[in-house]
Amino acid sequence: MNRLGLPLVTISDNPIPDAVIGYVSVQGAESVFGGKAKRLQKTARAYHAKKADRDSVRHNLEKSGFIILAESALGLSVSAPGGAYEEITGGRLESKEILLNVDADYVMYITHVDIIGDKQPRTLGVGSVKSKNLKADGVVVERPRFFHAVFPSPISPTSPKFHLRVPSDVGIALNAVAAHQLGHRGDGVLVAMPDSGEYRHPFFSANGFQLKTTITVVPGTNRSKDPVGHGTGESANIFAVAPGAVLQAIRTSNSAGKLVGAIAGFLQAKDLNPQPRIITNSWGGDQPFPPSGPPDESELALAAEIQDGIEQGILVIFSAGNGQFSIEPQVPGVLAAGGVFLDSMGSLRASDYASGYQSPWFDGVNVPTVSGLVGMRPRAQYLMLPVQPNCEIDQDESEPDPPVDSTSDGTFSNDGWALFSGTSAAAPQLAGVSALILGAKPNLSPAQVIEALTKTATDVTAGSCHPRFNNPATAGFDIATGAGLVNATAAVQFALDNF
Amino acid sequence: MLDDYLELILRWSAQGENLEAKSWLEKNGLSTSRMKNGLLITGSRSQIETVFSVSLENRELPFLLPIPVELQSSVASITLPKPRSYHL
Repeated sequence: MNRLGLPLVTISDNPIPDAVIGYVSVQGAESVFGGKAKRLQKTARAYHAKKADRDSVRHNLEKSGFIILAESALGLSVSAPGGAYEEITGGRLESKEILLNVDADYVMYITHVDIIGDKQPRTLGVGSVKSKNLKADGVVVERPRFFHAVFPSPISPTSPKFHLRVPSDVGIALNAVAAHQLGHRGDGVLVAMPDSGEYRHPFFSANGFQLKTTITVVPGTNRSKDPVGHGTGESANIFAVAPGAVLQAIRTSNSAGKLVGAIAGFLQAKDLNPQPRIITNSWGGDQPFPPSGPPDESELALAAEIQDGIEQGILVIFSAGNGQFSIEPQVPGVLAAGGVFLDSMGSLRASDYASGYQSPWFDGVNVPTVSGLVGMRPRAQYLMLPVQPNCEIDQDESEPDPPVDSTSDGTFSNDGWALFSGTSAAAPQLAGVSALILGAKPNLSPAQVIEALTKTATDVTAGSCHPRFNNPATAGFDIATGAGLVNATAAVQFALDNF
Repeated sequence: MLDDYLELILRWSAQGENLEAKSWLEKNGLSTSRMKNGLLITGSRSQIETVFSVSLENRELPFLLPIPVELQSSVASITLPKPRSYHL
């Protein structure tokens, strides 16, 4: 057993691959197989095989179905179906799961192939040779190995631009710390997030945050990569508020990082088992505003899916948009996340980066419902978030963007950190606050969670939302910020006191 | 420019869900997921252009695809919706 209380080795359900890569050692004066002394000779020349023996072994291996990948004076690197290994060893190939430190403190079961049998060595992946005529003294099945890549720091870099850090500053600014101290951390609340992907940034493991293995939607995409950095960075906002929440990331981007499977990702999120309590979405479409008519049927089809999720008891959150106008945050019952900017003096104002409008399609719906922390135009470089090093966001934000912004975010283009926000950040912040509420009161409906958020939000009375809509923040509920900036501890207390 | 992987939204005709139509799409290499009021069809652009006998080059979105003969009795519409983007 290891420190996680898990067995180091278990039997695997994974089949033996069609092609198993391995190494066959040709007999020389000395052998590393079968000898008593487990040490290297003073020179590798002791292991060199005669050319005639190497030729003989190569010939016999090819007859048994092996493909020779490379050859040295000591042996041959080979590829063959499992049956070929069994033929020359007399053993049997078996899959095993071995618990390994994969990277950046992530411990995972990794499938290995072992050669087992009465006359086989106990060492994992090592086989003896059955035939005395084959001048080989041992067989090794290649073990999975990992790149010793340089991982980004789990601690964010500094930047001359005013910004907030995760998890600390965002948790403080949304008044989540007092809730944490009272034991409300969103423990075990499952949050699904269809987005660009989830890179295994050390920020998450160093803070002990829980992420399930990412699900991919687009065939052929890597579950460990996030070529844009959007999903990775924005998901940090959830944990800044709810450190005990569990994230199920769903990668909906293609290999280039473009969002091509958003609808499929949303459907998969709804269909998860166990079902998530929250689906947070930092994406959407864009339509003319004001619209020339009702939404088309493809938009309504997605709206019906969203509505169905809410009716199943899932809290569905959509970002209001950064000047965009789209159907997702307008669907009745959705928690639409807008933007409020907290400046260096502690003052609040509506973010002019965030959309704010009354729905022309659904009576009584305001976008946003309530707001999270979002930066200001032109670039909303406001939250220092972890991303995949050298990804699109890491590069873009580290460059000036003349003529609107002559400075960069002050980070390197490959350091795995970038300053950005947008209502993409507000949605997972609201997901975090909602997870705190659901952790404290698990049986609440989406409508009750929204009531707790809106009844306790801090009113914002300064500034205006995005100029496309140009609505001012005013005393009380307003179009620009909805109910204002969420107040995590107050929202949890409201839920405990009133439901 | 359209991407390699596309999502289409199918709306059933008044008779409702038709498993034969779903099966026909899957036999032609497309993936399907049941939606509240229809079907989400996903696949590569080339697969979709082949199955629906249509070029998707330079189409204004949303775009209504022609319905293949095999689906005409059960399907009201198949739409390539407007793209979605990150709210970065």
